[in-house]
Amino acid sequence: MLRLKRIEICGFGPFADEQILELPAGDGVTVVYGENMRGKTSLLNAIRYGFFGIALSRGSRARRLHTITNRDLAAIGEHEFSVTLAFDYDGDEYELVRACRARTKTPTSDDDYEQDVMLRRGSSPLGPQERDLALLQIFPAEVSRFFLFDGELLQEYEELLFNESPAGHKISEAIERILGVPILKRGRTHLVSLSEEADRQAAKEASKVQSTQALGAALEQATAQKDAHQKEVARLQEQLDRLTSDKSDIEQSMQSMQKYSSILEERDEANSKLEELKNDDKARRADLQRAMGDSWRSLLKEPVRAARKAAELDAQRELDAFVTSLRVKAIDTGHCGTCDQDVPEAVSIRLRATIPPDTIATSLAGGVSAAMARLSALGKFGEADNFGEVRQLWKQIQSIAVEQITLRDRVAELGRALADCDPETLRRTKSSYGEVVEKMGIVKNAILEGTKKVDERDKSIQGIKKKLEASGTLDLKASQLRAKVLRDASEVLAAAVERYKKELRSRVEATASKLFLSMTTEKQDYSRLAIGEGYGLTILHRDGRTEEARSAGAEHVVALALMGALQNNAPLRGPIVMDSPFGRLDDDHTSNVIRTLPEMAGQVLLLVYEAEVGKKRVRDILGGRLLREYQLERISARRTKLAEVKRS
Amino acid sequence: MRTTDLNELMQTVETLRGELHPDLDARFLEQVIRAEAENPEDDAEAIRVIELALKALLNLSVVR
Repeated sequence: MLRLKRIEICGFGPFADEQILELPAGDGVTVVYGENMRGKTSLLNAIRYGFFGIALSRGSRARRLHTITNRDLAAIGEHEFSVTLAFDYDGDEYELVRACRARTKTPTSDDDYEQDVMLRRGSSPLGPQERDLALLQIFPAEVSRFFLFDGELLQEYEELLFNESPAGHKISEAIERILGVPILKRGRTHLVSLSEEADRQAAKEASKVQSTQALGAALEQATAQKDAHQKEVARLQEQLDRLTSDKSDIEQSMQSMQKYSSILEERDEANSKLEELKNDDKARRADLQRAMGDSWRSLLKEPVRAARKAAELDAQRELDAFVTSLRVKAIDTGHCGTCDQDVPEAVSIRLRATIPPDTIATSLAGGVSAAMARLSALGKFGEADNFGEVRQLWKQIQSIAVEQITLRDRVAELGRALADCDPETLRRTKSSYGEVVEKMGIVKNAILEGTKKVDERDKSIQGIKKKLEASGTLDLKASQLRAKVLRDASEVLAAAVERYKKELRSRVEATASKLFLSMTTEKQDYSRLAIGEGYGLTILHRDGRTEEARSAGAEHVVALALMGALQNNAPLRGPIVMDSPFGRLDDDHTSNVIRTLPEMAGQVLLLVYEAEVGKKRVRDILGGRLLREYQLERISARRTKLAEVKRS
Repeated sequence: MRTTDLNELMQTVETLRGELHPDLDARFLEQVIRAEAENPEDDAEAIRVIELALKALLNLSVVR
């Protein structure tokens, strides 16, 4: 069992000066209270850095070393930082020191740093090889998620409910690792490989003797063919593993870039809308130009109408005067020049009566009068009223301009939001995801085909072996015995993998159910948790049905129950360090979780925002199981001090 | 992973040995498990330890 005793941090995050956190011996909970920005996550990261040489940021991405160093110290050119962890493991005392020194004055990448790692067992420092092996045995990085976690990591456990999810598959593998399943799997693999070697040896032995020569040659050939197929399957399996891992990485990356993805999509849409608006603007302006060509007519419409009316009046007057002049002439001459007939006296008298007294006869001799000519000219003027059209087009152009300005502002704003992200990478990520999924399908089919061929070869090998067993030499019999022992042992381990996993699932299910019922506020309604093939946990209601719709809080409690269950059932046991695990929980759940913490692991280090839990509540609930309390105290925005909270 | 508690794992293996191959030596299987537990990242060393255990077992069988 791994038990932390002391954590020393210097120059790491907000811990500019050396800070020491002593963890009391014995089972129970140590709490570190800290407001936001005081360094709770940095403390968790310091432990992670101490053991594995990495610190994580949001989205479980590795933090660059130059972002870890204390900002105050960095400002004066001091970029060094170090973490010392003192711990017990299986009865031995260890001290692990990991220190980071800058190679350049202003480091900007991990290459600008040099790391020193020292591991001491008792009073003896271990050599590099022994140190790495010891660290691997004490605390493998692959299982760190079950010991060092925050609310964000807890959310990932929901993936376990989806059997096809690569992220869930990755977590399942980590779970099996902490539970010791790989020991059986590797044992089986090694026994199978040794038994195959023994088979090959037996085939060689058989080939040496005349009576079994033909069978030996057939066995050698069949074994060689099987080996070739197996190698191909192994190669394909490796390829599939790589693709699965790529898929998982891409999914993770897509998830963390989800925010960027939607921003990018919006920016692309905005840009394409801007292009459309540009074309619209161009078309509207062309329409406006055409409309403006006729619009002067609209401006002259009223004056032309007035002139036309005046000309009509003038023309009418001229016409009336002309008719009068014809009548006067007819009266004076007694002959009508228009119809070329004489005018009788009676008609002449009647005509005289129509002549106004002050009439001056007008002559139109020689052509059209000026008024008629003016009227004719004005008649040629085509009237056009496109004021409405022009106004409409102008309004549209203005509206397009406003829309363009708004969109350009939005594009600029989105561009700023995308400053940290390479849009091209995001696009490539999306397209490579499709490619990976397609390749996975092809490789899976090829594996099925290859496995079929291996099975066929294996059948014929078993047939040949049976024939050989009857007539073998001593050497042959020795090789056959060796192969049989190895084969039998591998069969036992193969069966043990499945049996052990089944038993584990049942034990994890039982412990997780117990912890879940202790933490949930729905004790009356929920009966237990049920574990799936991939270690995903579902909540069972007392009516026997599964709770399909689970709240974020319920997910959180289930994840915590799984953590505790794994700790309780894993061969490797150690401390749980939790950073702000109450984010999605209400007051009652928070109290229940605090109460359950000591059941989850022997040693628990809780890093928490005080208002989330309240010191008094923590003390009341945990009582004697609360081992010690610390407070992260602000010195400045970039400096934090760790102080023990003295209880009165 | 160097495990501190392999008892449950060993127990499962022993049960299955009894069910599948009762003639198989229980100690050999235990040695295989220990070889794997103590050499989690070192295939060659794990195989070397298993081969030694096998050799000892087969010598014992010949002597018998």
